[in-house]
Amino acid sequence: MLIKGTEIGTTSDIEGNYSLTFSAGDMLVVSFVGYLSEEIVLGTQTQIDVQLVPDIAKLDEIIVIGYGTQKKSDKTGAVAMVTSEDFNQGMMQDPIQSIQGKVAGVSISKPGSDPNAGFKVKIRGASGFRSNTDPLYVVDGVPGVDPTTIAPEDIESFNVLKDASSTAIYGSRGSNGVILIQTKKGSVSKLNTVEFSTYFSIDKVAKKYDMLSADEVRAWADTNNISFTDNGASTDWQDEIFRTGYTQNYNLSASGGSEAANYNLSLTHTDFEGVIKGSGKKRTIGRLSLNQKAINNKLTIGATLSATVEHNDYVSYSGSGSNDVIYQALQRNPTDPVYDSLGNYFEISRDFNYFNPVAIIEQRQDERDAKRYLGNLNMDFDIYAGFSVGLNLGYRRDDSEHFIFEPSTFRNNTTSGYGKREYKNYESKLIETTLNYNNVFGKHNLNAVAGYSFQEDTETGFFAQGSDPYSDYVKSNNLGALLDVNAGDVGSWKGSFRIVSFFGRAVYNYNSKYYLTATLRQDGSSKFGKNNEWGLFPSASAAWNVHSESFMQQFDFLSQFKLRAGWGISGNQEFSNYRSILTYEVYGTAPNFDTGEDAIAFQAARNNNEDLKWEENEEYNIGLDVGFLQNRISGSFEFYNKRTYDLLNEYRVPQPPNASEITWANAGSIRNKGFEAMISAFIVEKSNISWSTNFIFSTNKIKLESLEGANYSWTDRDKKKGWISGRGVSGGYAWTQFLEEGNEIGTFFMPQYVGMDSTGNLQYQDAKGNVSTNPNYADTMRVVVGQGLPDFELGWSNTITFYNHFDLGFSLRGVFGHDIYNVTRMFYANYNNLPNLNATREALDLYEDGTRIASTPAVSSYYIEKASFLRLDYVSLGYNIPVSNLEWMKKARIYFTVNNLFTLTDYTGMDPEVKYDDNDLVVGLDQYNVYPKTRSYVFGLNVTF
Amino acid sequence: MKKILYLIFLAVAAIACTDLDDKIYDRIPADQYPENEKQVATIMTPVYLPMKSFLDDGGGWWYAQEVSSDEMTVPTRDGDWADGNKWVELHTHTWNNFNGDLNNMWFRFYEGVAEANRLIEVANEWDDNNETASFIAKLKVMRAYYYYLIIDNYGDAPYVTSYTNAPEYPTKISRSSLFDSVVKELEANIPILSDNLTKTGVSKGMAYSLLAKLYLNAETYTGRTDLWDEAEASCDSVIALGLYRLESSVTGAFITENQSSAENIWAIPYDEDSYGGFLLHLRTLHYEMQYKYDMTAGTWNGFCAMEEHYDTYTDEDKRKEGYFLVGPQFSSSGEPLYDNIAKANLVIDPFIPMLVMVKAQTFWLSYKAIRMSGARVQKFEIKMGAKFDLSNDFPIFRYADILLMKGEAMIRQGENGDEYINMIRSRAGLDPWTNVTLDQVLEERGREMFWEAHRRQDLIRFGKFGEAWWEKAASGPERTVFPIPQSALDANPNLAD
Repeated sequence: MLIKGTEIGTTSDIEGNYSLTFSAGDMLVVSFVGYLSEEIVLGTQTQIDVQLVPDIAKLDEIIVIGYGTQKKSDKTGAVAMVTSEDFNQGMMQDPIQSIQGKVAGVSISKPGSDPNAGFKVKIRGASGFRSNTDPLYVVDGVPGVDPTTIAPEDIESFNVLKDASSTAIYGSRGSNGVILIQTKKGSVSKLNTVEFSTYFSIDKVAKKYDMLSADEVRAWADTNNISFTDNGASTDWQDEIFRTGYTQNYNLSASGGSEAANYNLSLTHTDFEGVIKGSGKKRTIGRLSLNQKAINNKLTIGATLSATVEHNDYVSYSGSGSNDVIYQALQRNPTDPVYDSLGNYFEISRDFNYFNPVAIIEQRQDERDAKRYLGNLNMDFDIYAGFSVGLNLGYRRDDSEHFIFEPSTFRNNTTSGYGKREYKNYESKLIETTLNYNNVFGKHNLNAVAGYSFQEDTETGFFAQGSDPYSDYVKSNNLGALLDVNAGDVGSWKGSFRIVSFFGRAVYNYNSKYYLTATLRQDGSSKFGKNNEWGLFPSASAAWNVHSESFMQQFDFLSQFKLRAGWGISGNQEFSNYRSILTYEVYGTAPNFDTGEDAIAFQAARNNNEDLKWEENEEYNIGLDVGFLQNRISGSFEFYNKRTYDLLNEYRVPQPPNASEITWANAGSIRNKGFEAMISAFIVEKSNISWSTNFIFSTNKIKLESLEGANYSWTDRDKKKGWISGRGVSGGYAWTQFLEEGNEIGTFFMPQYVGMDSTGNLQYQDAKGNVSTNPNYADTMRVVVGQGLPDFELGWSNTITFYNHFDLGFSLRGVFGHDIYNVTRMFYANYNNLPNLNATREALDLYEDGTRIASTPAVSSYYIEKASFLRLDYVSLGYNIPVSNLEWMKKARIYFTVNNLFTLTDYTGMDPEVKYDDNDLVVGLDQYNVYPKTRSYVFGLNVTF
Repeated sequence: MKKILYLIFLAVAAIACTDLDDKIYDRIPADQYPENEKQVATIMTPVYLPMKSFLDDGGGWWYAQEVSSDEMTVPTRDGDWADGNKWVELHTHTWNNFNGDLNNMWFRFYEGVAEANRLIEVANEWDDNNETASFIAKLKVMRAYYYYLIIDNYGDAPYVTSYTNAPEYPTKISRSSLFDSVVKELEANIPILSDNLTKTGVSKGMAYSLLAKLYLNAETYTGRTDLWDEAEASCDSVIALGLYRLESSVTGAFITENQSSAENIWAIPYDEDSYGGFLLHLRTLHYEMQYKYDMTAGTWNGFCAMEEHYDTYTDEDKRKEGYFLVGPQFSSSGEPLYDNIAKANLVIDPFIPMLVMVKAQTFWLSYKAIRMSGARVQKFEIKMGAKFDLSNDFPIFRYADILLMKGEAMIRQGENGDEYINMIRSRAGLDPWTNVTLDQVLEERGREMFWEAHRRQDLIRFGKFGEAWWEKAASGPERTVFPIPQSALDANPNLAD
């Protein structure tokens, strides 16, 4: 509380008691985070009781915008914030899952529940050919930090910068959006607390494929009078490789401080057991953050240290390979036993590429150990009259070690065994200095920042491998037991790049009514060609707080009405280094062709391109913020139109004259247009029950505008995408998608299935309307038959508290309008597999129906399925145990959460989530490479001391 | 205190670094290469590297010469080897310019040309001495080899001989102009080549063999029929070197350790560990035959000889047993091999019922026929414990071929070629022929050069490539060359005529 116009003020204690000396006529301003401020004219009373009204639209909330913060009510760009109390509940495999379905325009997807797989995060559409289109993560001001090194419990808020007017301050790294993560800091208001939270989760496989049982396969063989080798067992191979997983999570944190110094310490351990046997992840994260003020509170020094230790157990399921356990389990004959009579893994050569998946899981070592560190020091110093300087130093190191081993007995002694170790080390150094100016001149408010940033990343690595192990016991822990090691079996690498930047931003508002923001960043990167080393990224945005105009006073149902408009240019430089210059790389062993003796050869990997530069993104954004009924209902709406051009790719060039067929260059463009809505409402706000709800809607249309530039263009060969593989199918015509100007990315292009002829053969129709039973494969036979990207997404989150102690939350998320090409079904809903290989029940049904499918099924729209879905991401019931009579305990809450209680969808595969492949240019292929989706039952406890 | 802080901030601002030069660690900057004698000794390697993928998908050359011919085929075996119909199209001459393997062949050839052009310009900057001259001559001969392959497989095509001064989008020249340029280049450079004997790099023997190939096929390339004497003379030059002789055994040139075989003139020096790419054994052997050789790599049950071709070998012909695997097959320990889908012991039958063997389409086909038909090939020795790649060198030019070419050139000039053709026949244990005809030459070439990627060119030279055989209908003369890949047409607008 503060006496207005003075520096006289105080803070209340935890009970709300305070005392203050004042004169009659003074105005007392009472404010508290999350509540509307109240002003009270003081008379002569000695006791003033104030009850603040919650600011349910949180207009005073401070949002983070990169190199600065601002009040939510002052924003001019498309920025969204989610704070910890609104995070998703339950078993979180990745912190980013906390905001899945919570922010319009941010699409977060991961098919299946592999604890070792990351989420794909796309902000307003993925617009790149070969570059990485993930957003830039900035953790407490340090760019490039992997969010999985932060425990979800340690996160205070996510701020998402969506439009280019907001991301241009991050220049050549802003075009895919920026996610700013603020971790929890100690503070006076928290007092000194110790918090312990834990949960235990039972993770069940939510959906299995409906494969035939051993008896059904035998019956099929009998009925059709086909003899096959019946090995007498009745094995459900999915049950043999799947299990119920148990996840445990523990977080202990201590936080506290005084006016001058505060701290936050936390330790988190999580043990994820995957539902595919043998897969899992263990992770321990320690984090310490300190802040201290000095020199009359003019200097603030802060530091964060964090360390993550992670262990991964991998099981391969990436396709139709010999080690891919899902593929091997689905095809495996259910009459085959897991073990033979001697207890060895049962192997039989029924067909090519046919191996016991249990043996793969149990015999094959595939592990990783990672140690990841982050150190961050920042200083702020108030110089004089609104000027301050800042210094931000960051050091990040990620070290990992990978172990792979296949014993000599692998696959019934038919391989030579294999062992490999690989180390990867990544180091990133950051120095940033800023000069800030903040002042108020009457009704003019100005905030300006100028800065310099230097970042240098270095990556090193080493591997050694070999075959013919003489010990299966020591595995890859001692590669010395491998006999067969050749030149080329040992390798290492080291590379680095630098980004140097100068940036500035000015934020101005007149009387909180008219707002203007302008930013400019100049980025130089060593990845760019000599002719384009530096790029300039400007932006401007404005807002008009219409609600504060006098003519708006008559609309008293309105509590907020603000228009925003922004424009900006940002870039993307997420591609490999050394792509612009000609270097000679180690090719490996090749003979000296004159003598025939062994030698090492060097090769020029690609043509040099001194014009190589960043991808550029120009974006317009129009926004509207409204509030009704004292902001009990509020909403934000955004329209955007962004064009990403000069897209990075390996373009094909004539050879000769070029030495290499490949040149890295910029060409082509992609346009994304969309609309986003976020609506919050307080439906019920009573003393014994309250219900708040958040609804988001977003739609994005991505269009390939151009596939060529001045000197570079896509060849037909490269436009064919979405290659599938399976028994008898690989290469050639086995592609499913085509990149075509004017179409969306992820457009399915293949023969259109139109029905069956009288003998049961599938019929296809070409673009001219001709119908034939021959898929013919020719390009002319192909038409657009589907779309891998969704039309729109929505999320609906709810928090209900009742009788003071109970809380109920749930969140529904829907993704609509996308298709998935179900390769798994293509190869397993096929009775021709029987009786040697297994098939799904659908195969039998098709056969009974009279549908005749070729033994090598043809690519066609027959296998495209609608994948729209609505999923209950979580439902959670919590109970706050009354502890007010306990001196030593401040708070205790127990809860029960179910993740993925149901998924409504027509899709028949494992998981209908949007699936990206191949640098995001392929969307919607499910080819035996989707980990099972889990349903998790989570029991949790939080206590605060 | 304040002042110190100001100083810290100022100092950081002052050292503001704007240096963006790449720091290169694990590769060699262009201006530093080559650094030493070892690198100089292998500087030409990138010119040979495109040949490494000739026998597989990445190069497609072997497929193009063999699968399109009447000596072998890749039948569809139920769910296996459909591969989007690419094998069927190649065998029945119905390919298009989207075929990935054929397209790769074009790119590998021009990759070799471009690397040669670049290195010639590098070497032009070196000291002008005999060593440099011989190095440049070798590069020019290698470039001529790639152009020979381009002439043979594509016909009209761009002829680019410079790296820095090449047009951005080269235009095509006629097949006969290409022929003239390449022959001229070879004639000019052979004398400059050093005399050292190598079976893997450019040698005089290799260059004369190449010249012989060009002259022998000159009619195909240019329409000229007056160059048979040149072809014969080139073969004579190879013979006169005195470095090469026939192995006594019909498979002597194809054993695992064949690198020093005096029969091989020039070969791709494959090695199971250090220079992989020779995996035809995986493509031909039945799945169970992995256990015949105790292999550590799975075999794929695909490629096989055409029955009609297999039948051209008489039982006396030592090559029949030497080249083919037919009949009952046994594991290394002598157990009969068993096929679990066919539910029968593995017995390879040279008879192939049809090109596309799909049970669901042709119910009378047995799994035995689908999986065990077609003679398998062991011409190149498959050693016990063979890995994914073979270590046998793959001959591009072989002395037996030179002898057959010499004989053919003589017959084409109206002379008697019996001596040279019979050298090959007698080694195979066959009776000599008298007054050998051209048809007999083609027959003997078929038997001797089987599996070595000569058949397509031979059939074209003898005018038989377009004939109908087995499931292949007669095809037009346009099929004697392959189409330029669509992706090359896309990248260079001048290629579309």
